[in-house]
Amino acid sequence: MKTIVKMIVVLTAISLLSGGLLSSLDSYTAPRIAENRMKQLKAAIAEVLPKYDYYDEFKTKTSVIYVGKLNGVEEPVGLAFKTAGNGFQGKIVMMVGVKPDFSEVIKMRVLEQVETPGLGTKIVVDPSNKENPLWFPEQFEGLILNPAIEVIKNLKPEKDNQIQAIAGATISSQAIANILNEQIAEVKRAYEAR
Amino acid sequence: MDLTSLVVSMASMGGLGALFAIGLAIAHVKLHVEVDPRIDMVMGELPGANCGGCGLPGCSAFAEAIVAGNAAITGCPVNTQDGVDEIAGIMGVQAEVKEKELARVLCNGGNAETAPKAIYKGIKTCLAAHLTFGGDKLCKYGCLGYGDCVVSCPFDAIYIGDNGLPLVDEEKCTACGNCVTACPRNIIEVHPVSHNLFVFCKSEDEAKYTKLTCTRACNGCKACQKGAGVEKIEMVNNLPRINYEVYGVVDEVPTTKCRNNAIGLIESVKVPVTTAQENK
Amino acid sequence: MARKKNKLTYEFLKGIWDENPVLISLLGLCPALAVTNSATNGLAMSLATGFVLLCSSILISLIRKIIPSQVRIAGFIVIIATFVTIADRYLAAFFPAISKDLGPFVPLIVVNCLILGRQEAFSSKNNIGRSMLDSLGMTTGFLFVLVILGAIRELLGSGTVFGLEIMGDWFNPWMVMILPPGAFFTLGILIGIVNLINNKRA
Repeated sequence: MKTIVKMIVVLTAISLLSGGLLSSLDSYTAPRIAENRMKQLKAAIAEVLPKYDYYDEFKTKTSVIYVGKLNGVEEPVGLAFKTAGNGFQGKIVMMVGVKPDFSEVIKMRVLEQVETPGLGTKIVVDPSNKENPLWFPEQFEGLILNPAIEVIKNLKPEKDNQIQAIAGATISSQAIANILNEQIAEVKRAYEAR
Repeated sequence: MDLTSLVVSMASMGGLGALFAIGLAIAHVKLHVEVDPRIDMVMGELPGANCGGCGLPGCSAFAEAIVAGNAAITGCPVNTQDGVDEIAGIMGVQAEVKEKELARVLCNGGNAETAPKAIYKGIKTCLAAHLTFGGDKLCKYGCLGYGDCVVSCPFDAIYIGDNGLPLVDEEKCTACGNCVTACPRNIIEVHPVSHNLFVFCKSEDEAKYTKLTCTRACNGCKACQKGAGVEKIEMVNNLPRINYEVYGVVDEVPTTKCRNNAIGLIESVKVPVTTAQENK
Repeated sequence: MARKKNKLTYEFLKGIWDENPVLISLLGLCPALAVTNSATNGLAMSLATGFVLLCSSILISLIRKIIPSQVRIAGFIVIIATFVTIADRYLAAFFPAISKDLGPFVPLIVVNCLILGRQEAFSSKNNIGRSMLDSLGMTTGFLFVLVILGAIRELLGSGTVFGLEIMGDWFNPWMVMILPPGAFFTLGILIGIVNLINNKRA
């Protein structure tokens, strides 16, 4: 009987202390962590929109749209939102900025990806291209959204809604186009119905 | 610090802890195994070499067998008399005294005495050589000298001498029997120290073969049996088998007519043998 | 390395070579393979693991006489998990980039057999002084291996070490080194070298 009591007391005591310690620790680290997240978010938004003074948040059922505005100007400078979907090896998360009329992309930035190093990772940066390592993301600047984004292999794109795929990483490239097409359309529907 | 979250954290963690502790307590009661404390005490008095000399897989198995009454206290050949006495005390029985035993190598056919059959380029173990056309020596009963016995000894008590024959360190040997099992030709036997007469040969060949295979081989001439008497030495397959119970302690060899000095007293074998005769 | 088994310094030194957790005892292989794609990550992971190992060793050594054997494992895991959470939150708050790079492997320190193994085998049976030395030694050994492994993989796989460009433009990086297969055979070669040296010595 003594053993049983001791067992229960000791394990409960350890657990209580653990819970207490972690809770106190959390009040110390949680603000910092939230701050870090906010910083990351703001940096991502700032990258994909032209200059803005502040942004409003517009929540849809599935995402949050960051509406960048200049002081005193009603018309937003652009809309930024996260898009995510399946790439070749895992999830790809992007922050994309579009014009308020959803006619073209302002800029795109990949936030998270786990594509094949050296191939799929070229969607972020391509070190093998010495002149312009950022050639892939740069294709999205000013990319027309109507008709939908198309991916061309091996040739230089002719139309303004086309981008060139990464040689050897066509699936990653196509995944980006698919994610953007689908989700930009969805966000457009939700925003314009507000 | 947010008090609510602190209380919730502590309550949930503490609750989980208590819950699991209760679960473990129930398991402790329901799944309890009764262990005889004497087993651990006997284990403490065993050498802990896990050599298998007792015939059981390891010292803990032997301790369990002793406590269960399934093994003799003197069953561990490695244990000292003090250890045996302690175990007897734990089990509350009379201690027995067991005579010291040693491993004896019953072959005198080393490199100088034997004729080779072939050059062996296989795995250098006695077992592998023995399985390969009966080994690389003409005598298919004798020691091959690759040292399986050496490898098997947990006490470093046996080593291959200069002549290619295994030599036993009588201080270290505990008669655990591992070398006996390791030898593919059953050349090594465990005997009490009171046995001092041995036939240092395992060859079942007749004289016309042994004169080709080895200069120290027993050729089955029965001279020793004639000298000692059939009740003391029995001939089995051209080899003398000594009946130690009947013979008792021996103070001289039964015959001087053993041509190759295959039979002898154990002291005489300690002197290294050099032969004048070369086998071709 | 010191061979005298019971001297206090040996408790520390054994973790570096004789009983190196990764190369000899083959513990903690999961982080050793997963996060050594760069030397910085290897360093960060080994420091995080070391923090958890040291703190939990001290605490477990303190309570070793009052914890009943039936709740030993559960108790150890709670203690280890607490310190891992502390390490994880600390990294996320103050070193977000590293936290992102190490990803799910910081929480996985809880089930790193290196930590539970040392607590079971050592800290629950020895006083605080020895347990601390043992933990520090094991951490140092773990750190050496992870940093060396990370440096090799980073050098050959990206041309850099700790982020500094070492190989010039002429070098075409061996992509396989920063992928899982590269981790496996580099670690295998390291273990082989250590075994070779030990066999030569024996």
